[in-house]
Amino acid sequence: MKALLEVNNVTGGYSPSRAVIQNISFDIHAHEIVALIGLNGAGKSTTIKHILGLLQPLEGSIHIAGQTFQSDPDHYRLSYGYIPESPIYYEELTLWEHIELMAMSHGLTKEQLDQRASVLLKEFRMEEMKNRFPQQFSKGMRQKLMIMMALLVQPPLYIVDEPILGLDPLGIRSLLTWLERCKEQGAGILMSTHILATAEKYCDRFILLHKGQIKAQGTLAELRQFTGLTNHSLDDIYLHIVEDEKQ
Amino acid sequence: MKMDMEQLFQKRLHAFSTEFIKYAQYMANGGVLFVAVFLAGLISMYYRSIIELIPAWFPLVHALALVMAIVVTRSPHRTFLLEADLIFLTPHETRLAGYFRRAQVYNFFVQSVGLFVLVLLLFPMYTNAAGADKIQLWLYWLIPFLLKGWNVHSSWIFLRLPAVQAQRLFFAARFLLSYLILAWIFSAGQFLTFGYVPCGAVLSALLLVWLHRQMRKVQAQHPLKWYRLLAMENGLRQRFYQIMNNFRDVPALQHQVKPRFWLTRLAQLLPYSPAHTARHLYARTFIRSGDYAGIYARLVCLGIIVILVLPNLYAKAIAAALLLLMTASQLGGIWRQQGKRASHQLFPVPPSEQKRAFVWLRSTLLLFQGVVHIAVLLW
Repeated sequence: MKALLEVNNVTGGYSPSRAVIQNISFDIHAHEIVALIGLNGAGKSTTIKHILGLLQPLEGSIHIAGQTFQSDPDHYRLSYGYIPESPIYYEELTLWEHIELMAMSHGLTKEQLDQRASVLLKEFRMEEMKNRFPQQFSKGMRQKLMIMMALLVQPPLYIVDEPILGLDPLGIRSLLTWLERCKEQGAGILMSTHILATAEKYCDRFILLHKGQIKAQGTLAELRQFTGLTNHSLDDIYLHIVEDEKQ
Repeated sequence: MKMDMEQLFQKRLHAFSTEFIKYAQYMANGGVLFVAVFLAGLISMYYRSIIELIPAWFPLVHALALVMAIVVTRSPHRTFLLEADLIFLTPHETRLAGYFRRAQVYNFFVQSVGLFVLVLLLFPMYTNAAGADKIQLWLYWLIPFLLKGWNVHSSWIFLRLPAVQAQRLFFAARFLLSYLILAWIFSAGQFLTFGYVPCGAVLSALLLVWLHRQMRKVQAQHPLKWYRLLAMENGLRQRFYQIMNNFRDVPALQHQVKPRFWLTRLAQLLPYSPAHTARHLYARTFIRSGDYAGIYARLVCLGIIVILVLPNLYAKAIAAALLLLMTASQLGGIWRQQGKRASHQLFPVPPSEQKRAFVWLRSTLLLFQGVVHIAVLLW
């Protein structure tokens, strides 16, 4: 089966003279959630910016559904749903208008919009915020807006950057169960995080990023085999790999 | 280390004046100022003849006193306070008298400039109405500034009051006092004088004594209200940036958003379709953000007034055309604002389509303005 997202030997960063990530290769298929794990500054967000087409790789290539950003920018941007780490929004649009314009720009019909949005608003308990402005929201509520906008368009690929920070426990549960349902329905999900317990519970595969390089990737069983730490948690495995690096 | 508070004020004033001069240069270079000066010139050519249109029954003296009383009473206070002062300056509150005294002097002079322009503008009306003699004219030029000084002083003290209602009450009292005095002076002592008893003057005197007793009490009982001072300072600073933003983009300007749900109904008239995403977005930006809609409405109204007031058809046409130019330049801010922010990638709308949507919005608004002005012209 063809991968939804293919990242091939990507080296890149913010300036050509200083590469932040080096030789990154992985892919994401339908029906799986993949965790991108790393410390602060490991290169998670940089990797994601490359995938979104906001940064151009110095070397290597990135394909979503077989297409690169250069080959068809407009179509490329429509082919994923992105939940950013820090919420971005228009100060002059209400919550509902954000959702409406998101649906409009992705070509959803009015019926699809009304039907999907009402379910999402209920799930994330944001119905009463419909006509209010994100400026007046707490960080977690803004995060929910980002989540609802991404989930609304039901793309084949989700790119989720640190979704859990700032969300309340109910919000976290809603998001994760929702993502699992998307996965069952055939979506591929890349989720960057450093909350390892959650990653271990919900993700099928793990990509361990350290100082801009992939140290290991695979399922939990494969990682255990790789490190020789049978019966250990993802937490232990990750710390083992990072500590190893120090010595 | 002991801080010299007066020197601190001097430093901050200096920083602000450097900023002001920088923007003033942009202002002098821009087209908007040229248009404004031209329009002012056009109107001033006809100013005298417009004044003569005022009917004799109109209580001009009282209207002048009213307008001037409003300007004299409104005394916002710039203090050049910064957010961090909540931590660093609050421990020195009792030693800040010198700092704030200087701020008051600054505010008096800055507000006097505006007042001077107003007094100058109203002068021909006053001489027309009162045909006043020499002492009267001296008083006309002197009293508003004295009242301004007193209002700056007293409103600063009332700013210490915690309750907003109490503040409003004292604002009303200051306004009443200012109006009574101005009307009494402008009417050469006629106002509220029955027989030989100048009731207006007596009332003013009583009001003044009462206010001063209240001021003493407030000063003794209430400390400075730091959050209010800071909010006022930030508001005034943002307003300055907003004005300067008409001439040149100000990075520090935070575009205020007003909900205006009654107006966004207009934006909802646009059809729901992928091709209209950007139009929806720009229409709402225009209605809610940075007061673009407010400026637009003011320019349209200004145009209507100017067209009605100017006697000459060519003058009307030139003024209307200039206002159209001004509107176009103001609306350009929407495009510049949009390009500057990170959220422009939120919806996948290609830049070319965004530009088209902006051009559509601007053309629609200019067309509407043109139609309104032509309608007024023909009427």
